Amino acid sequence: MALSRSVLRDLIGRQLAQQVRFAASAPATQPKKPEALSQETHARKHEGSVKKVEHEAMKVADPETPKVTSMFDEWGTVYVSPYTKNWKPMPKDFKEHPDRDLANFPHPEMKLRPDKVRLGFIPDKWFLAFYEKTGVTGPYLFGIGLWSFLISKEIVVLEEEMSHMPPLLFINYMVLRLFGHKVEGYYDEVIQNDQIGPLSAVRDQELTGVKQFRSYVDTANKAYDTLLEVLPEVRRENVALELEAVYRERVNQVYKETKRRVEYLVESESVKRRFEQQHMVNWIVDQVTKSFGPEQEKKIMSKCIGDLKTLAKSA
Amino acid sequence: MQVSRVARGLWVKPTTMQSHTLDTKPPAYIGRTFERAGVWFWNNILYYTRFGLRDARYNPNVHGPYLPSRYYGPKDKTFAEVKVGELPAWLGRRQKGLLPTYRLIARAHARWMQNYAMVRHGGWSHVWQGLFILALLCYIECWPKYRKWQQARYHW
Repeated sequence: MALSRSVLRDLIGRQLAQQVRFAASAPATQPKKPEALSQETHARKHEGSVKKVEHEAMKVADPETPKVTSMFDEWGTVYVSPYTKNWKPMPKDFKEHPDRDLANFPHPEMKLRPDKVRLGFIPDKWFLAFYEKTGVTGPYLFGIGLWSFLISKEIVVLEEEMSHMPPLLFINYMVLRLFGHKVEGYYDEVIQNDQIGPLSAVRDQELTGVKQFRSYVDTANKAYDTLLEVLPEVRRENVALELEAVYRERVNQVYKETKRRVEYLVESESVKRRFEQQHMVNWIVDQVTKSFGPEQEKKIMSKCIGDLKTLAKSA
Repeated sequence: MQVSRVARGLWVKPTTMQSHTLDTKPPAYIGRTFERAGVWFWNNILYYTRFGLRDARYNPNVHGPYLPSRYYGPKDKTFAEVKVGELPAWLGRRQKGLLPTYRLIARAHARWMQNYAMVRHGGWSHVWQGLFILALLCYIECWPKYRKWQQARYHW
């Protein structure tokens, strides 16, 4: 049944009126501006370990069969370096010079991750610039419109060699998502061990050396201060020790000298006495032998020989 | 009459790995003129310019470590914040010349490197950006070839 114009007008009018009423009743609120994506948004999702949900098909009754794993288990993990956890920020209000302008020229710091990019290469800042005027889909529609214009006007010619692009981009995306975290981990180790590790080690060694020197200087200063307090007594003690040593040396000298002289006297006297004794003995013996006659001599000789024989027999 | 026999033939210089450079070596006075001209240029002209030197307004006590991505001049509005009426005054305040232009490009490049390349976990974003620009430049170079596609009577 064909609808009459008046009926159509009424229907359309009612629809329009409904829309107007709906729009008027809705509160006039401005859309929330999205926050600029932070550096760590991407990392926040996958920080730590990836949630590995086991499917029921994987749970087998027989524990001897091996578990099935695939390279897609770690799809899109983000590598979090264990070395950057100890990165310390510069202390606030630290000035190398009193004139240092920290408000306009703050201390430079190395970034952990680059600025956010969409589709791999378009910075996120450009999207925010669009957002106020066009909303979330503005930049994408702008890109699609621009691309369609360029293709339709044949400013960008779609030739046969451009057909290589989509598969290559797809393969690159897959490879990066599957193995990017491993490559990043490997090169993180390389950078740490070959470039940043040695420099940090040198800096830490110099710091510890400086600290040790400071502590050594402090102890030396303390020792010097205590020494100053006891220095007079120490000096007195040293002098007293020296005097004692000299006194003892001299006493020893005296003892030796007296002993030497006394020994001399004793020796001289003993020598005299010994000489006298010997002389007397010899004189006596000579006199006795002179008083002997030849008969007595024979008797004594035979007796001596008899004694010797008996001695020899008994021996 | 006896004629002495001379060995006739095409005598070709034996070619070695370096013979083509030895044969065509230029005379020494040409290189020496360039050397002397360069030395004169450096001593009398370049020495008194600021090419290759840091900005004269940089003060290490005030600005700290030197970063090529930072501008060590007076504070001014960025191009995005300038209104159309203030443009001539703003342009008058900027430095014009060859060296300021080079420094502008160098600062932008250094800022880009700091943000995308000299980063602990850099990723591939700087690679894709560079490849995009390279592809664009190569396409522009091949543009005359692609004009034929535009001018063809029948398209795909």
